[in-house]
Amino acid sequence: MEENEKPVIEIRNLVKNFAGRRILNNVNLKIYKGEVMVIMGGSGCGKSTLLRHIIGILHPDEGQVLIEGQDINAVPRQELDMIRRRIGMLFQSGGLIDYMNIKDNIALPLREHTALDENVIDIIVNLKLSMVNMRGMGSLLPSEISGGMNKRAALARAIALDPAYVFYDEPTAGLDPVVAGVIDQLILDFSKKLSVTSVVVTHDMQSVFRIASRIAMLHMGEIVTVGTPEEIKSSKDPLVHQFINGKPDGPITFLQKGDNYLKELTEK
Amino acid sequence: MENKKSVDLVTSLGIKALTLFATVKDMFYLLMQILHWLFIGPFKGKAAKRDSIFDQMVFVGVKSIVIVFFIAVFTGFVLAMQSAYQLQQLGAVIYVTGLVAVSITRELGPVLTALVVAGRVGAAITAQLGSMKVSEQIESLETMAINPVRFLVVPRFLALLIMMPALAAIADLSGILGGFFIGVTNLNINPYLYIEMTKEFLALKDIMTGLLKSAVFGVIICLVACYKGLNTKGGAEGVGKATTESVVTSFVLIIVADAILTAVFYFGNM
Repeated sequence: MEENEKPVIEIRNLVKNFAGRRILNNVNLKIYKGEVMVIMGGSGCGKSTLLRHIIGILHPDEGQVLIEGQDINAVPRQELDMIRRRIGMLFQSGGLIDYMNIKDNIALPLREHTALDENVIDIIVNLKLSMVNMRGMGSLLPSEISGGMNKRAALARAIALDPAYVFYDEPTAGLDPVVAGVIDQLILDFSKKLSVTSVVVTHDMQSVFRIASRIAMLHMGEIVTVGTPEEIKSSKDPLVHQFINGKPDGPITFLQKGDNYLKELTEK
Repeated sequence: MENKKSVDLVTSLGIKALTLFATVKDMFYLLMQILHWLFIGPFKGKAAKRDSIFDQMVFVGVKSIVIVFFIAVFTGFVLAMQSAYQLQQLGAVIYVTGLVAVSITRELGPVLTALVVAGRVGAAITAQLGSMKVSEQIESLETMAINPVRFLVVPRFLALLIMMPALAAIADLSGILGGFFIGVTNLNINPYLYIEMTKEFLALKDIMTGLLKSAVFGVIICLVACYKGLNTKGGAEGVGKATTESVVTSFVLIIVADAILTAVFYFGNM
């Protein structure tokens, strides 16, 4: 990415604490137009929390999130809503409204935010459904379709208003490799054909290297490295090396210190 | 040691009080948001959808008619029999008519209806909003720039506000019908006389204060159920916990509000 280009999303010195624990520590990240930025990191490192800050569901304790130069925590409610209409978000569990069928779910943002005729909405819904290969399934309820279909339907809803940005929270988690591949292809298609700027949070390494134009690695609430997939692959950083290769030994450790083990076991 | 315990007691009481205060504040804030979307929202082209209000009215009102009817009829039975038992000793069985009519319309009709609706509808609202909350649906509404209060709470608020007095009116009628049935069959009161005596004793204000109460109960049920639902945390267990809390809190608040309103009407000479 050219250094002189202006980022469309900028995270500045973001700090977030939950119940006294620091979840995000001084995060800085710039995301440019049209790229697929993948934020990767282990479970519980704060990547979903970071994504929730970018769309403004969570509010930072310190620092700013700028979308097209506007601080989303400082703008009035109406303007935040205007920004959000240009963002689609795919939640980890899909987030489809459970009492509405797939068609109504996809039509929801259209009905709420546009004055389009029902006939036009019908056409748009069918168009979006066919983009995610789910033609003719509009009348089913979210509980009647599989997890992979739920995610694809949620994706169709996320792009219903033709957003400029789509955020994905673990889009391939819990899906079989083929469906995961299909979702990855969709993410790439949106970014290429619709020139959508994407932010993807994931720890699925296969998927990371399939879709990423740049990768940021988050560890213990801090951004460790940012780089292109090639740079990340050839990174000398032991943290990154351990993570992308899934090695149990290295600087990321799940082993607890053994000093007080006997004491912890015997003392009540 | 003794000292430490009392400090702990004070601390825990203090924490409880602060939590209660925060809850009341949040519920009040929710009410303000509802009023905002009711009275200011529509002028900005952001009204709640008519379809969903209608759906909720059917759920809250129409589908509660049968159970409200049965509970009120049987309460009417019991009331007539219990009061006849006492009034017989005075030879004043005819006053069963007025006693049933006034106590049903002023008190039992609205309160029993509210308790039934809190158990049936309030619990359902909390469970539904709670499971939407824990499965990221509420968040997904927010990211689509759809306000959850406008989209989910306002239709339920309107439905409860409109349907509670309607249900209470049905309870009033059914309760009086229950008393009438016992009066005519068991106490040998002339049916015509029963109706005339009921009309004699019953004043319009009895019915109006009862219906007013039921509207207030409707607001309480909605606020508690929606607040508990939208603040659900922690998966399926959290939804269960929130639902229980919602019903218990509604019950307590309904009884307390009933006492306060009755006092207001009584001392206000209504």
